[in-house]
Amino acid sequence: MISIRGLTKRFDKTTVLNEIDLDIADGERVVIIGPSGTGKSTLLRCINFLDRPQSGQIQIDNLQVDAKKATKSDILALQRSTAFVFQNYALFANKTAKENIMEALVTVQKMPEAEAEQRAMSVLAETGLTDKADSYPSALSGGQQQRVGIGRAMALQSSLMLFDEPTSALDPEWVGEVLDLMRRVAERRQTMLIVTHEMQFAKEIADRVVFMDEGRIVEAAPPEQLFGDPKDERLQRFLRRINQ
Amino acid sequence: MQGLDLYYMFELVPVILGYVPITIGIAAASMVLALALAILLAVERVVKVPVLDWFVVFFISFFRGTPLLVQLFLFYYGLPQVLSVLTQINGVTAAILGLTLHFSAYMAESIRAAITGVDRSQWEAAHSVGMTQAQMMRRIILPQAARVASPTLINYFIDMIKSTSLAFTLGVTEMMGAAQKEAASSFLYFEAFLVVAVIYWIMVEVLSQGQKRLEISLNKAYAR
Repeated sequence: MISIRGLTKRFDKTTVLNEIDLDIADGERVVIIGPSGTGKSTLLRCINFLDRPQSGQIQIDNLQVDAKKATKSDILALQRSTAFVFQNYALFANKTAKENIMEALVTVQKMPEAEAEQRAMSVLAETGLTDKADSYPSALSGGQQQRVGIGRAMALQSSLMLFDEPTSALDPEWVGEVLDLMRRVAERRQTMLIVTHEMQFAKEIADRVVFMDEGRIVEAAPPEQLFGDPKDERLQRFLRRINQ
Repeated sequence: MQGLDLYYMFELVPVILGYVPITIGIAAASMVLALALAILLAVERVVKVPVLDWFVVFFISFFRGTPLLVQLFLFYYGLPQVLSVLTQINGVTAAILGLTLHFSAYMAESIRAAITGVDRSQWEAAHSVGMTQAQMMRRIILPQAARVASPTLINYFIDMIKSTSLAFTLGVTEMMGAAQKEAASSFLYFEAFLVVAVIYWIMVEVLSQGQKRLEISLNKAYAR
């Protein structure tokens, strides 16, 4: 169970997130949509404390973090119970595909090397990259890198997977394979919070779609309802624009 | 102009070579210590610990901003007058101390540049999987920074080997000190200093070849 209350983030004087409240049930797949610059990515980054919110509470299972009073160990605990997939993959350039997946298992979760390697290989098999286990990121295509990035997040088996526009930086030819992998992750009822511009994909896999505008959650509903019967005028305008 | 006393030079070579271990020893010890210190300074400059950062900036500024010879004199002749514990300091120790501090300041700057050269997204990725700052530095950032900084650091090592010659001003008999003594007794200054110059030159050339090979193998590692 994930519960976010009053999450607020300002950069200088600009309020990027304005008192965000969001609950996500276990196994729920939530997709965030909305115009550029409305704080979608910042919300994800604040949940993982890559950006530090000024105020608000984040609760993941039994872990409760208050942004105002968050200590180093709170932040570490929060980062350890979430997994993040980056728009630009952000693989460790000095590690092979397999090592990228093993890294946190060994250094953070203190898993024995052999066990971590076993899990990395099984994750690579799921991502269809068994033959690339020993390749460095620089030798992989964008799509392959992002699949490793998703694999790295999957291997953590964390309570919440965060996807920050995972296909936005990809050449169109690689988008399909990354979305396919995300579908497979979704099928396991992994709790996911996804920021994406892939509307078709959102309709397909989301249990709930959240529309954000100007740092606020404007509307949240199951996809059929949100796309089929949008209530808010801003959402209607947004959907018209992207459907053109 | 008189001819070179080639026979004297020939005889002098093994004498000077006998001091190569001292020169290399001072340089190697200083390099190891300077590298360790430089990594700490560089990481601090990147992470910026409050207050400590101010000291590090001051330290780097001082040791880059003043001549090595002045620093060596300060440690060997100056400090013992102020701090009585240092009256026992010998020339070799003072030389190693001076070279370490001086070169660590330069090396810290190139390591810092190499650290900031590592794509910021990898820092975020390391945090996102729950690594601590220290784990991230040790496992992800520093290995990549080392690869970028290595050629420059070897340059500093080469420079350091040549700079050990200044230790003779602290009464240390290393290669330069030995040449100086030989020259003073034979009055064949040109021959003596030419021999020591050529030996330095050969040592540096050998290292430069090693540096080239290292660069090639580093570039193969995981380069684009």
